[in-house]
Amino acid sequence: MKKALAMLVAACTLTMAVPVCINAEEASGKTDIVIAVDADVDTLHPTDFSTTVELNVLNQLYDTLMYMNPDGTHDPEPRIAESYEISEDGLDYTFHLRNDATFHDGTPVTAEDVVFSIELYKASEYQGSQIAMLSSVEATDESTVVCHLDSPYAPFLGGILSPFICSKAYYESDPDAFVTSPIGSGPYKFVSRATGSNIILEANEDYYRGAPAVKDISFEVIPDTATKAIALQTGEVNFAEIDSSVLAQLDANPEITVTEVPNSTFCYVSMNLEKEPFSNPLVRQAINYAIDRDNLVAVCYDGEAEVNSNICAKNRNGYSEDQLQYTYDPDKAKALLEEAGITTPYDLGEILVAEKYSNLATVVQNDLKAVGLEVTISVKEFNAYIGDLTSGNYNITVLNMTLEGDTQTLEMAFTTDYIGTANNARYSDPDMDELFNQTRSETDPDKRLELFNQIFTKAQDEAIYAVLCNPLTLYAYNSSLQCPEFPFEGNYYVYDFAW
Amino acid sequence: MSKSRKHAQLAEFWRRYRKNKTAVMGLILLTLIVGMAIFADVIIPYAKCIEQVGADRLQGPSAAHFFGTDEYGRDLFARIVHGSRYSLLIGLATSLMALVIGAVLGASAGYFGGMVDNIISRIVDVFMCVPPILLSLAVVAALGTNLRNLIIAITVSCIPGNVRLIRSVVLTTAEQDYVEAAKSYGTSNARIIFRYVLPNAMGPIIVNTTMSISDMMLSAAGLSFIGMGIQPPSPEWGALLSNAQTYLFSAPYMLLFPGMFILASSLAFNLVGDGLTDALDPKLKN
Repeated sequence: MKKALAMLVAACTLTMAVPVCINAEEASGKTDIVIAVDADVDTLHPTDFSTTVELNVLNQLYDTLMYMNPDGTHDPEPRIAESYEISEDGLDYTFHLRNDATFHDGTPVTAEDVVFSIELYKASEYQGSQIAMLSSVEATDESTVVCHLDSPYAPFLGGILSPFICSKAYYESDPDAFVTSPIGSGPYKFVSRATGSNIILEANEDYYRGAPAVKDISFEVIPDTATKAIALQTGEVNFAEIDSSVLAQLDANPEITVTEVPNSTFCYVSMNLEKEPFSNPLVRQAINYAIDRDNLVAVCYDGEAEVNSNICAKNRNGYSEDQLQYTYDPDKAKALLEEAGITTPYDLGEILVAEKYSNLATVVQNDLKAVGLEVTISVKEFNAYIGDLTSGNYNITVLNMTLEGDTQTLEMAFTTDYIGTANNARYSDPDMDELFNQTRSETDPDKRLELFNQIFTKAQDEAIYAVLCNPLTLYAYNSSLQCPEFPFEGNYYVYDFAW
Repeated sequence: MSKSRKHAQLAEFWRRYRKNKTAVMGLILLTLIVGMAIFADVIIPYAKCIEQVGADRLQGPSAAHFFGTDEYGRDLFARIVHGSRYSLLIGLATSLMALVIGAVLGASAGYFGGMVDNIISRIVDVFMCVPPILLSLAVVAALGTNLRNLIIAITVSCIPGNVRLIRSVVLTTAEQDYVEAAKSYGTSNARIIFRYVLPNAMGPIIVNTTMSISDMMLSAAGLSFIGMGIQPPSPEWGALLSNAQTYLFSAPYMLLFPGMFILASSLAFNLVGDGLTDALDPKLKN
């Protein structure tokens, strides 16, 4: 009896606790920022990172040679390098380094460190493709670094401005600490990390561009969307990338500003081509036709995404209306399945997803069922999921992926070399590998565009993936936090923020 | 025991149970919930609870959808009605499994004593050190997430408590004269345990099992809530709650209805359990 009463009381207090109080943030005098992130980082290695969260943290710790706005319409801004020159034949890229840049341990950033960083980056299986064209890099004097190419490659500049500049001496003295307690060259220093919980950074007061306005950064791991939204409203969290499901609730709050940022991220169904029946293009085409993308965008993104069945975003170099767009056509899907010799209902096995993609899986499951394809949803913890995904231990999945930068980066989703990393379909085709080889070396923009057209036409015709849409990135932050306009792809630098 | 005596005992038990008004209320509530689970398909077809209607997304309660719809446009009334099957199945299956295993281990420990008791009790002690939710999480993480593994996980976390309880009840019963008498007749140990010891220790065991059903249902709801329970799109109450938290502000009814049903069923089992305690306790004759 007592227990029953206690439960009644508990239920009452639960309903009472719902109203949330909103703390007004004192605008002046605040120098710290709490940023909520979806998942913990797996590594803080400056070149072997693979997730957006890892990139977001590393962006604050490390500087690159120069900063290039991903929209491609701005000149590169100086960072570790003050200026650059490209030789007339397009084979040599010379960077002139500034002499006042130091690492967080006080040692100066030398040309040797830059060479080391670029070589480490090129060797990385996660990031190396961005500068795959580089044949060698050398320091010609104390403050000059020259990158040599075997053949001219127009988008090389974008790639070579990506490596984070790290300390060679630190790497050689302690390769483990190099990853676990990084010493960077950027505006913020690493302080501590509590696995699964948070990462603390503090301002680098000796930063060559001047000390940052925001002094302390805490990246807090908050995987749950609603919790994050509440934390934003109570002021516990000042800045976060949010999910569209909480958009209405945050938009209504004058204390919170929400910004939409377009990007090249794509939401897609990946099928393991090494497994039946996904090796059959007809089945993959059927799956492409079976999914109602408009409905999916409405349900899972509250409309905050652009419907697109092409892996190449509509505003990205290489996209063309001539490439096949799959639209919702369940009858055609059924006809294709019949042509493929599939007798429905057919069991496709498990659709493996991480918790945050389970809503996508629920919609996909429903659409596939309508054409006679049965899948069972299996949810795994994010890092375990990524492990299964990259090792090919799955049948079908649905997820988001970002391959930023030049369109060349999309080779990671298609070429044989990237099976085990980002080529989740485990697609391997000599023609496709060759096409991406050509786009890598073609300098004539028109010819290159034509090659990309061939690539995406092939990708669409063979239905290698079932791409669904390009979600918009949504940032929500305290209205008294001053953030400059976010560039395409939405990378943020806390150095640019101020209270 | 003759048939009529058994009958008379039952009548006496029912008379005592009936006197407890809250217990009767609990029984009525429980009957309604169990009835809902049994006749779920008659009330509303299962297809309704997985059918996604894009046009009906996030609708509040109405005549067409008594409890509204979720973000996929699925009818929440259907999901709750069919969810009762999962919740009750988990509650009953885990409690019964834990009861059977707990009875065998607990009775052996209590009856034989000595080495047997020592081994079983120490193992149970080790398991008691681990919080039940952690134990369940570990089992689910190791076996993978699905209904069967969820039931195994919750059962495992429930066994140690049951073993302790049954051991302690059996300890007192095993020293009664009628057990001594049975021993002197040369009755086999198994027969003594199942014919004489356990039936006479049944009162507290029944009460504990009834109460534990609601605990088990809450554990299952908890595990589903953190995504380690039943896989979507199956409509388990905890999973419904978990899903609803995203829409806490824009569609609070999504949280309200599953929450109410979890509360009501848990309350019903607890009230019945309390009623049984009083009715089965011979010392509270009046």
